[in-house]
This record gives sequence, C-alpha cells and structure tokens, in this order.
Amino acid sequence: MNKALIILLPIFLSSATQIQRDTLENGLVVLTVEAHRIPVVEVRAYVEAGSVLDPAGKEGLANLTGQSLIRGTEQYSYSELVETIESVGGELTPFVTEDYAGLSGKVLSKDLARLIDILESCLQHPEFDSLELFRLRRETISLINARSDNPFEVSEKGFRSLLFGEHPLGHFPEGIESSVASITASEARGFYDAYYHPNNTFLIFVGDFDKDSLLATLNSSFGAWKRGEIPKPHFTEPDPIEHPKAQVIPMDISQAYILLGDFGPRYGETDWNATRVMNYILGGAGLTSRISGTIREEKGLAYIAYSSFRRFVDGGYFAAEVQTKKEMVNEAVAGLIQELEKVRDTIYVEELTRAKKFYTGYLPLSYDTYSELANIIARIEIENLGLDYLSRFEDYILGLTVDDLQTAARKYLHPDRFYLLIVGDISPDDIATDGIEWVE
Amino acid sequence: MLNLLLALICIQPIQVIEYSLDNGLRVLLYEDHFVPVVSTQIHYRVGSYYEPQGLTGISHLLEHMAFKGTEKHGPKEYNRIIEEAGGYENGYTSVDRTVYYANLRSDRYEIELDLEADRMQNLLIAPDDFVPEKAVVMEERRLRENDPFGSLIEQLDLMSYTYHPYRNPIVGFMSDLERTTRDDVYNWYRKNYNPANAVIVLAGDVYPEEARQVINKHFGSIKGTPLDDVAYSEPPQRGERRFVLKKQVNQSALAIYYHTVASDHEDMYALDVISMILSSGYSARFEQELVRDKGIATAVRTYHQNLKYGGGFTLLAIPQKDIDLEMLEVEIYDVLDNLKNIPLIEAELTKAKNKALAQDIFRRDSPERIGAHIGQLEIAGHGWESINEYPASIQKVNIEDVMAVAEKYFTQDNRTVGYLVPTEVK
Repeated sequence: MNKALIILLPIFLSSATQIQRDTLENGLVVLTVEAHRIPVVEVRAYVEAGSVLDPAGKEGLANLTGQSLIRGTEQYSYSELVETIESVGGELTPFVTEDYAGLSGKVLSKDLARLIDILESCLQHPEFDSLELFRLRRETISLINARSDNPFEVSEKGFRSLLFGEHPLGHFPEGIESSVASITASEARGFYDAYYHPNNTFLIFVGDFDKDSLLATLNSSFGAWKRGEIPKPHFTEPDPIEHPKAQVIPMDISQAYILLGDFGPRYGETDWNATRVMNYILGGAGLTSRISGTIREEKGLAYIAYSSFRRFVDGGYFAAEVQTKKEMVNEAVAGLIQELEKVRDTIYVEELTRAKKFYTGYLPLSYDTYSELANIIARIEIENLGLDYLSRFEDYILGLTVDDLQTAARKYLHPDRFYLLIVGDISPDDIATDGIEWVE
Repeated sequence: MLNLLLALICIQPIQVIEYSLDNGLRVLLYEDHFVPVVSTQIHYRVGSYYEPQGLTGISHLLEHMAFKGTEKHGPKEYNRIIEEAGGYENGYTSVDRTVYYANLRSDRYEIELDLEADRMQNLLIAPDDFVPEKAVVMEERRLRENDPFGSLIEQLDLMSYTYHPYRNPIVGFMSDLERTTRDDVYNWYRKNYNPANAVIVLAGDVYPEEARQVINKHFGSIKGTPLDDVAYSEPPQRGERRFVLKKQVNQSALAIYYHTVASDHEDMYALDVISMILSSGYSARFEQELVRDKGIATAVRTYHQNLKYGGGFTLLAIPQKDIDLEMLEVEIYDVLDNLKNIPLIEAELTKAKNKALAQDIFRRDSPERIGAHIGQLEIAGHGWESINEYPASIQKVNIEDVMAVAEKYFTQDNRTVGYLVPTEVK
C-alpha cells in the first residue's frame, strides 16, 4: 500500500458546491445548486416556526401547525394535493423540528412547476380545517404512545426533560398527549399567522433546473406573500447545577439505557469546530473513539456506546450514551465519567491529526447526494456559515490545535456535575455513585 | 392534464462494465463522476440462509470478527485506516449475503481494496478477541428482543417458514450463539470467503482501466473454490397459522405474512405495483381508507421481498387507540379483497407504476445504492443487468395482472397472522 496516497491533497470542489443565494423583495430567501446528475429536483422549505415556540400547556402546537400545511389549502383539498405530487412519482412531506417547520420533497425535473405550485399553496394558503386537525391530533397521540414503548426514545425524552425542565427544549416537537389533545384549529391558525412569513422562510432547490427561470417562477408564485412582524419570545435559561442530578425511569427491559451529560453549545458558537473534533475523539468516531474503545472493545460492556452534541438555535446539550446489561450499570457510568476526566486532561496530537484527516477526507462524502447537499445548505443558512463554507471548511479544520480542543472539553464536560438518566429495570439504590441528587 | 397524468416515466438503462478474474471473482464497475467519491463493495454469498442448524447467527458473528484483524492489520485497524482516509465503512449481513464496503474520496479507493484482499485471506479470528466480541453480539441480540415490532416480525418469520432457513433470524438464536465456538467461525470463514464466492463492485468516480489494474494487483493471485448452492423449498402452506406475542408494551400491533414468489418469477412486478397501491405515500389505499377515512389504524406498512429461494408479502399494522386488533384485521382483508374483486381505474395503476419508476431514478442519486443493488442481483445469480429489465417489466403490468396476483396470493390458507399485545398488568 502506497502511504503517500493518503497525504492531504486539496479537495477538488465540483460544481456541486456552487451555492447561490437570492432574496425576493418580500424577504424570502432562495438557495440553489444546479446539478445534472439525474433528472430530479430536491426541494426544501424552512420556516423558523419550530417547537421551541410552543406556548406552555400547548406543547405540540408548532408540530400540528406544520403538519397541517399539506392537509388542505384554499386551492386544493388534501387528496388533490397528494394526488398531484404522487401521480408523477413525486414526494412532499412536512417536517417539524425544535427550530424549524417546513416541507421536504423531490420530483422529476419535468414536474418541478407542479411541485412549486403545491408548495406555494401549502405555505401561503393552508386551511386548518377542524376535521383535519382532529385527525392529526389522533395520529400524533398514537405516535407518542408508540414511542413510549421504545426505550431509546424514552431515554432521549427523559434526558431532555431532566436537563431543560420547563424550557421549551425540554419536550420533543410532537408534544405531550394532554397538551396535544387540547389544541384547536384556530390555535394552529393563530400560530401560523404569527410565524409563517416570507421574511422568516428560506427555500432550497438542488438538481436539474435552470436558475433564472426558477427565480422567475418563484417571483410570480411567492411575490404576493406579504412580509410580517415576527414575535421573538424570551426564554429563561435553566440554572447550572453544582452536583450530579439523576433520574431513573423504570421499564421492564433486559438492558439499561444510560445517558450522561450536560448543556452544550447552541448553533453559531465560535468553538463548534473545536468541540465537534474533540467529541469525535471522545465518543463520536464510531468504533475508534475513546468511549467505544473502553466501554465496547476493552470491557465488552455494550454494543452501543458513543457521545454526541445536539445543537439548536436556543440551546444545546452533550450526552454520552451506553446500552448495557443492568448488572453493568455502575461500571459503565464510572467508565463514562473517567473518559470525561481523561479528555479534559489530555488530548494527544496524534488523535487530533487523525481527526483532521477524517474531517477533510470526509467532506465530499457529506454532500454526495442531492438530498445531503440540500441538508448541508440548510445548515449553512441556519448557522450563517457563508456560501463558500464548503471550500473554507478544510482550512477551519486544519487550523485547530490541541489547546482549542482542550478548552472546549473543559468548557462543556463536567465529571463532577453531570445529569444522568437511566431507563431500565433498576432502582437508584443500585447506583454506586456518591453525591447524586435524585429526581423522582 | 389527463394525458400528463397517464404518461409513464422513461428511464435510461444503467451501464456497467463486468468481468471475472481467473479465480472466479466477479467484478462490476459503475461510473458516476458527479462527486469525487467511490463506493467500494465486496459481497460474499453467505448469510443466514446458508447456516447449518444449531449455528444460526454464525455469518453475522463472522462479520463482527472480520473487523478484529489479520497479522498485517490488528484489531480496529480496518476502522482506523478508513477513518484516517476520511472514509465511511461498514459491513452488514443479510439472508443471502455478507457485504463490506467503504466510501472514500476517489483518489484513495485502493486503500479499501487492499484491506478487503487481506480480509478475504488472512483473518485471525483470535480466541482472545472471540469471547468479548461474542458477548457484544449477544448484547445486540438482547437489544433486538427489546424492540416490540422487531420481535413480532421475528416470530412471524418463524411461523411462516417451518423448515426453510428463511425462518431464522440473521442475528441468530441465543443458545446457538452460546454454542458457537471460535473454530466454528474460523471454518465458516475459510469455506465462504473466497474469490469464487464473491462479487466486487466499484461505483462512483472510478475509471475502468485503472480499476482493472488495481483489482488484479490485490485479488488476482488468490485461489478460488466455487461452492455449491443449496436449494431449500418450503412446503406449501395449507391453512392459516396464528399466534399471540405478549410483551410489556402500550401499543399493540398486527402482522400478516403471505408467501409469494422467488426473485426470478414475473409475478413480483405486479406485487411491487400492489405494494405501491396499498402503502406508498399519503394517497395509498391503507392510508386513505384505514388511517384517514375510518380512523382505525395509525399506520399500515407493507414490505414485499423476493429472494432467490422464496418471497413474501408482509403487512404491519398499528391500530388507533381503543381499536381492537380483530377489527383492524377484518378491515385489512376488506382492502385486499377489493384488489381482487374491483378493477383498478387506469390512473391509479399509472400512479403506482410512476412511483415505482421514480424510485428507480431517485436511487441513481447514490452510487452506493446502485452498487449494493447490482451486487445483490449478481449474488442471487440473476445478473446485474436485470436492474435494467425492471422499468419495462413494471410498465407491462396491467389491471388484470393486479387482480389475478391478489387473488392468487392473498388467501386465508396462505397467511400467517400475529398479534402483539400488552402483558396483563399485575
């Protein structure tokens, strides 16, 4: 094997990374990449109307509003909407996350005009019919119930709630059963009127189209959409803790699902690249990370062991996660804490070099389909990273030092004051760690 | 507008360069230069179907051990080397094949070929690595037991196949895992991992002349031993089978399996169309009739799988709150009976075909997916070129075919029905 093959070469940036950004007069942002690999166009619409904007007691309102977009408009019934797209093999699906709501779809390029017509109708003229909202409530509640059987979902949800409490990041976008049951069509309409404005929205098109004629079409279909004032609610930040805080959620399963972590960076923090590379070394790098090395490989404690940062516009968190036999919980928790201590203490230059090789080599893999390219463009827009981000990415990564990573580790990882959540057939008395404050 | 609705999508054939080395190794090269990435894949003709009784899960266990290294590349070296090159690598075991692949920047795909040639010949399967890795796989098995729908489908396979090895879970049964020794795994490896039992696929930013040389350099001198394929056929099912699976769940569910046909049978195209009509998209029949109009189901999914030695049509349905499974089951049969008794209107048939054809085009956005598909076709003995027969075969399906195929397979005697229900509260 010729080792010279893997020295770092400048990445050949194909036309895939020529991102263009245009703004219509009403403030609607349009991001495009023309590509001609297959006769398909991938489309996204993002409105900053996610579940962090749910009022207290109405958890799930943003989700029901976003899901309603395709349930009938002034121009089309729900059946007409879906039939128009699906009869030509296309797809259009609503999505609602913590920060954004919108639509995601794809269609053969010959049918793009048809998709834009539907997209315009969904975004500008949704109906919020009360029968449709009744159906959505029922479907959502069933989904919440089904998720409550999945220990992975239960543990993520429990951890979020333990960390964020009453802060709107404390609940999942789909909300909780009791609040979802109380949401009416007129409340969804009110939420829509408050947040769905062109100046709070961006569109993404990736694929086989001509940009100039696309913009002309968008100007005529979205030009009449009026700007609006966007309310900016204020969130009270949760107080940092001084001692470990923990909770057990009992569940009759053969394993224990463990999450251990703390608050982390939100979108746009300047130390994100240092933080993600540090986490890659700690627990982000598949089988070769430190956590996977000790918990899975050396100790054989678990099939799944990793760590990750989840970021949002208004907050973020870190979690190290292990699924293991319940007899091994103490050993796994101790192992995780030890890894946090170690990564605060020492990061080796060789580890950083390896991580840099990974991130720079991986770059073209991260946009090798239209759909992945559309997702990266969304992140660039949300985080305001700049249209040349993909060509500057290598420099950002190569510029990182061990000190940068160490600083990030000491800022975000706290072996002495963490949040711990365990789902399984286990009680707090079984946990050996001292000084923990237990939450019922 | 009507003309537009009825127009069918036109699809260009996929071009692949194919050849075999003298040792029997099949090579498939698929060019796509959109981004500088190559997906390098090796498919072995071994999986749960081929496993002897008492050693279920051995192919999957071997896949795990295949990451534990050789003399030249120690444990985790595979991962480390691909990772250092910024690649993405993985392995998976299915019913009829085991696949290793890495997607890498196109200036360095040789790294993966070098590693795979080593993996094909020199795995140590060291006793010291075997014990902890077997424990990891047993954890994976437990993890699956915690997944209610996964358990339901596992039970469904066990009941639908009484003799044929499609009944066995890929991860294996716990007692078989316990019994499997290092030597069992090593012998399984020596027998199955050889060039005559494998297909190599390079898909993406690859140039055939260069690829040919590099593949020859790494694989040309390895000895190949062709293996006999073994054909099992399940005795025809003569009567409905039913079971109840009790678990600590909030959500009950219903699963149904109908035996259909193997992947060389022309009925599979009409079955694909039926699957689209029933459950693809918001306008599909189950979604419209059972989820929306009647409000008795949260979701009804269908999976239609045709393998070399048999196939099946699986339905998984989740009832709405306070709807019992018996009622949901009856309603599902109503939808299936309508397919048999009432001719489709042309527009619904065209929509279903357009969906199948558009999916075929969407897949071409990913050389990795095209590579996985042509590798699978080659392993099953159909030849990669059958990927290009798909569009025309779908287009040929007519209204009578749909009715006839529904009538033939969706019968009471040919089905196995499973209920997932909550354990009684103590």
